[in-house]
This record gives sequence, structure tokens and C-alpha cells, in this order.
Amino acid sequence: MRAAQQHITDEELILTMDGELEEPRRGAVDRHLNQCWACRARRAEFERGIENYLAAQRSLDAAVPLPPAAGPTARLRASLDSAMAQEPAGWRSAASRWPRAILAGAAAAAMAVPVGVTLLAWFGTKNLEAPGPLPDARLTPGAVRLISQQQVCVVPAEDEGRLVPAELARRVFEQYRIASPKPRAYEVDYLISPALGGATVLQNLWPVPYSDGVWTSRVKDALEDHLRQLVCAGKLDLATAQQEIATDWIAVYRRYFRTRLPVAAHARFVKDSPWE
Amino acid sequence: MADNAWIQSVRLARGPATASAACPEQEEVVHLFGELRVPLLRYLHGLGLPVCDCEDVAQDAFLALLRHLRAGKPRDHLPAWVFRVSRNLALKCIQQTSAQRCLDEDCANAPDRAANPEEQAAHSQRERTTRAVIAALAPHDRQCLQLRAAGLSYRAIAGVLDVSLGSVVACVSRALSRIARATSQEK
Ligand SMILES: [Zn+2]
Repeated sequence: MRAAQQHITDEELILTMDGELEEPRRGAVDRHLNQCWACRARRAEFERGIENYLAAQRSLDAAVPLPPAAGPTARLRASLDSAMAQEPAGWRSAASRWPRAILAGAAAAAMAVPVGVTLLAWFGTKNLEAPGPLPDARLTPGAVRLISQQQVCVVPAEDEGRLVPAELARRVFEQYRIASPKPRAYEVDYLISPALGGATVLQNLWPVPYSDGVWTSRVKDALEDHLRQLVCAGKLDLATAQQEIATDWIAVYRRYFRTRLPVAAHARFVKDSPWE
Repeated sequence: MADNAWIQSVRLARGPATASAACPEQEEVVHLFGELRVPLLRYLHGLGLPVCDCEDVAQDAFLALLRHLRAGKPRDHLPAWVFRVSRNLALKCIQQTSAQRCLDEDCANAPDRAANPEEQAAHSQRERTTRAVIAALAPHDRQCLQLRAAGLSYRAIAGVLDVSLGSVVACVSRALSRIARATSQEK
């Protein structure tokens, strides 16, 4: 009973013409089109509409000539180049610089990509209860963007985005099994700070309680600032600074500031906003 | 959900060791620019932006595309992404236009070249009819046609214009039948 079938709607006809109608409806529409001249005539009408549209549009376009592509393409290339130059680009594997470096999450990485993983893990000497002033080295081994000393120092430290995306912060808490973090109680901190080339990835973040003893994230911020100054003054190798801060920053702090306990001024050092 | 940042760091790790070497995303952006520039400029011009401003918007959009790719964001439907971003830039630009030009001064001083009248007269009756129908279409319908002519799928167009798939298909079918009907009445 061919005549009893319903005709195809304009919308379905359009979608069919452009191959965007989903199965199983598509099969039914194709079968109908085989049978129904009326619908095929409508389809032909749409095709004619397209043809006429294109012809008219071509002549409209001809009335407004566009400049040749070469100039704009060169301009784009130039601005892409300068954007790349500003970006701390050129991440590369620096495993050779750190013989102790071990690939973090090697299994996961192997699934994701075959080569050149930059994430470096330092399995610390201590196995701390997390979270605390030092991260759990298994969860937060540290990860860097591999950028040069020069690149680190051309960008003001404050300009390095320190804001951790909410979703990532949530996962950090999840990883540390903190079910419902109290607002203003933690800072989701970088192990290696962005100003020192640290990466905004799970492996480089951990929740630091604001109230946890004297070794607070503020003290660590002060150390990071100090290390960065040394790096940018050419007195310290960037790779060394990264490694030191990732290994045991408290020991490093003691060494650099020649003190057993944090300097009072550093305890008040305010740079980052708490996680809310 | 994969950790995007992690993927990013891993993905970028495969990049060249030196900063000066060309990066693959950069080439991809330039390549896509070559493919999309003309339809994109036509589309932006259709929104009411002078050609020269369209060029600036396109530049900004493709620069944003580089950041998008470098950040490891989703890479499917990149043409639709470019159209969408450009459209937003263009609309912002048009809104603030008279008070304070969003783009360069030089641009304002370079008027679009108008077609000469003789050239226009050379068109066939059918073409003139079609042009009249196109001119009479609702701006939204005209944009749908233009984006479809640029090769975007209906789904992608729906994303660019922030409307439902159904409404995109409806406006294209409406516009095409109008054009077909108008031109079949003459001959
Ligand atoms: Zn039918």
C-alpha cells in the first residue's frame, strides 16, 4: 500500500540530502524516496534551490572582493610565532638531567602516549601521612613544564597562573581522600610552583592544610620566591631548584635560610587565596 | 574523564626540543586558516562587519585556535569552533562599534569596494530573483544557509548559532523552498 505511507517532511528530506539523518529512520526515508515521486520532486526542488542560492551568492561575493590570502596568512604566521615565543613552550624530556627520575604513572602514560613523557617522579625519602606540609610522593611526585631558565624569568612570578581549575582541585581532594574539604582550610598548592616551571596537573598538586603546624604553604611560597630569585639571578640552576622543591622543601628551606623553624616574616607571607 | 592537563603535558612532551622549531599545532592552524578564511570572511561580512574588520576577527579567532589546541582542548569540529568564536568576536565588535571602534583605524578608512553597476546588470533574471529572496530572508535564515554552504553540518551550525538542530534544518528548508519557488515561477 504505497499511497498509505506518509510523505517525508521537509526537514527529514533536507537531513537525508546531506546524509545527516540517523538510522533507523534513514532506511525508511530511503525506501520511501524510492517509491514516491512526489517526495523526489520536492528533493529536486531543494537541489534547485541550492543551485540558485550558490549562483546568486557567487555574484554577491564577486561584488565584494577579498584581499588575496598571502598577506593575511603571513600576518597570522607572525602572530602565531610571537604567541609561541611568549608561551613557556618547548616541553621536553629532561630525564637525563635527573638520574633518579622515574616516570610517573608509567602504565597510564604508556596507554596515553608512547614516548617522551615529561612527568618526573621523585620518590621521596619519607613516606608521609597526607596531607601535610609535604605531599605524598606517590600521589604528588611533581611535574614540570620544561621551560628554560630564561623563559621562567621573563614572566613576572605573579603572572604565572596559579589558579587551579575547580575540577582539578576536586580531583586533588579526591585523590587524597578528603571527602568534603572545609572552605578556607586548605590551599590546593603546587609542589613545583608555576613560577618555577611547575605544571598544572594532578601529579603536581596537593591539598595543604592552612592550619597544619608551622610549615605552611605560605612558608613554602616564600621559599619558592627565594629560589626563583636565585634562578633568575643566575645563581641557581632551574632544574636543581625544581628538584629541590619537589624532594623535601622543608629541608631545602632550612638549608637556604639557615634555620630550623620558619622565619616569622615568611609565616605571614600571603600570596595565594585559599580554596573555597 | 581524562585529566586534560595531564594529557596536555604528555602530548606536548612529544614536541620538538627547541622552542624555535615549528610546532604541529601552529601548522594545523595555518592549514585550517587557508581552508576556512574565505567562507569565514564571507560569513562575518554577512553579519554586517566590513571586510577589513572581518580579517581582524579571523586573525584573532585563529590565534585563539592555537591556544585551544595547545591547551589540549577537544579537536573535533574545529571549523565549527572557529566559526563560533569568530561569530562571538564579530558580534561583540558590532555591538560596541559606533562608540569606539573595536579594531584598527586603518580598517575604518578602507571602504569595501562596491560592485560597479554594469557588472550587476549583467546578471540573469533568475539570479536577480534569487538575490531578492536572499535579501528578504531573516538574518538568521541567511546565516544558516551561508554556514551550510561553507560546509558545516547542520549539527555544527546549531552549535555555532546556539540553536537547536531542528531550527537550523527548518530554516534551511524554508529558505531553499522559497528560493526554488520564486525561481520556478519565471523562466
Ligand atoms: Zn512521499
